[in-house]
Amino acid sequence: MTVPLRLVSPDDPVPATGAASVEEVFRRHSKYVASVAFRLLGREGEVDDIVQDVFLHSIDTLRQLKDPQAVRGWLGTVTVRIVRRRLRTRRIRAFLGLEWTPATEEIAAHGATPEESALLSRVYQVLDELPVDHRIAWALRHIEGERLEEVAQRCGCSLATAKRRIAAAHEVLDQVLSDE
Amino acid sequence: MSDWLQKVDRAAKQLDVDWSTQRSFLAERGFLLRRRRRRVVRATAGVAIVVMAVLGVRAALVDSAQVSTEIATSPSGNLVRFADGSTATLLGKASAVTPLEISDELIKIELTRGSARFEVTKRPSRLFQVVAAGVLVEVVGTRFVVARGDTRVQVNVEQGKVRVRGLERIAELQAGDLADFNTAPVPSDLHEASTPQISDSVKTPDSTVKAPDLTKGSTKRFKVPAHGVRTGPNEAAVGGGAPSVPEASFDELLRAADEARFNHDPGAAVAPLQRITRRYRYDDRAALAAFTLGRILADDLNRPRDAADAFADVRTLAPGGPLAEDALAREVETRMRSNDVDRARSLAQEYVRRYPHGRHLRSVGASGLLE
Repeated sequence: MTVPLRLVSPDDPVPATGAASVEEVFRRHSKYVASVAFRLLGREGEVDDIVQDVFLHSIDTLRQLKDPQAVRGWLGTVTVRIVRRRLRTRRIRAFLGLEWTPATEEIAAHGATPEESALLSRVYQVLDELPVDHRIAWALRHIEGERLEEVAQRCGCSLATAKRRIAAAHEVLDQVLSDE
Repeated sequence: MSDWLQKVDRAAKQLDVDWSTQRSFLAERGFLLRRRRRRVVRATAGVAIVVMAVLGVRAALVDSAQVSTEIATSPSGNLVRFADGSTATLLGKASAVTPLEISDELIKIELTRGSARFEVTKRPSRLFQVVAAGVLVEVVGTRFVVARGDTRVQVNVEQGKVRVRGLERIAELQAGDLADFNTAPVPSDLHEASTPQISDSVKTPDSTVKAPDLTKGSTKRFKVPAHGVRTGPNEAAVGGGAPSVPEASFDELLRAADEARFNHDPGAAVAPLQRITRRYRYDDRAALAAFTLGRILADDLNRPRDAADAFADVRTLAPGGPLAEDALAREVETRMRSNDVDRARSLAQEYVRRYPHGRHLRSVGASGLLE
């Protein structure tokens, strides 16, 4: 099936002719989606499923996308939505005793010191305990490095709400990590 | 900005997922497979509505020259025509077919009773499959007959080529070939050849089965051992000397494993993944198949010893590859689970030596194997 849009990312040259196929879109953007999902989740195990879910949801809507340059931003928004759903489901299942949540995997950030990697692991442990919306907003801001306006857009909320969520998460993290 | 936040900001810049070519390839396959299934579900829902309307005027559909329905349970001679021009002609009394999946990429039909001749329009982009009692016949464009018996399924190819996935092996049949496939597990002694129980066929003492008189022109007949391996007329008969049929390709095996996993049947994924690691060891993707096999054995099937061997194989196949570190860590874990403590300890020490800043240091260290 050929997607009837000429899709480009800001980093890639504009294709000379024709529309990108489903496979081309996936190959071009899957790394980005995987990166966002990984940095929001803090664990590798579910990244592959989330990447597939994002593209399953994306392909149907791609035809309605008016601005091809915004593909990456839009994929980021869908990724946040899928991750949020996954985190909420996991939390409910854990609450009902239907799912055992494994301890947070140790995070390895290549180039970071062992101390920094350990700190990241601890951050994700604390994030696991926070409300999902607070966690996502904070992770987008401080781990993904998004601007506040982009955090609000990805989260589908107002700028004020995004700031409030980030501040609430930050307060807990500060209490825990400043003491350690 | 607090001290810890500065460190987090610095570390986060280095934080990224290991999205290798191999991993992207597998994710792409999974995405395409799920997308195809989702479209089939939608198409099937539409077909179900059509079928219900069709059943209400069933008698009129016997004259099926114009029919696009996919279900037929009528007497011998009924024709079922698919949208792409492919047809299924039901043979014998009370033969019946049922559509399982219909999409642009796949038409999958089950022969639920009796036998049928299939004429498949040649379309490389569309796979046509016939399932009978667990035996799967795959074609791109050809003409063949499938007959379903009590313990065997017989496939007779009249034109083109088909690939048959039996319970024990996969065979490629060409025009003029005729082969039987068991529908039950083969006994360990392969020299036992029970007589096929195909209702419309003639049995001969040497277990060669003559098909119903369906073909035109001459038909090559083969001695067909119980395990379904085709042998030529001048070749050795039943037994260990029978030549093997072409093996499934890497992609076919991987697809079989993917489908098993997506059908929540991880046990069925083991055999194709094992075949990949044995027959395609020089393929770049073999290490990933071995890792996947290890995960299934360890996490889904609770077979830690076999899983450990699979993880060890990952490092044999790709010693410096992106999965080597994870495979070593998992081998430590699975050796421990299978009570091979000495080996686990040795591997844990190797992990620390190779990956002093590795991401699994904590879990390897927490295993108690390191002093």
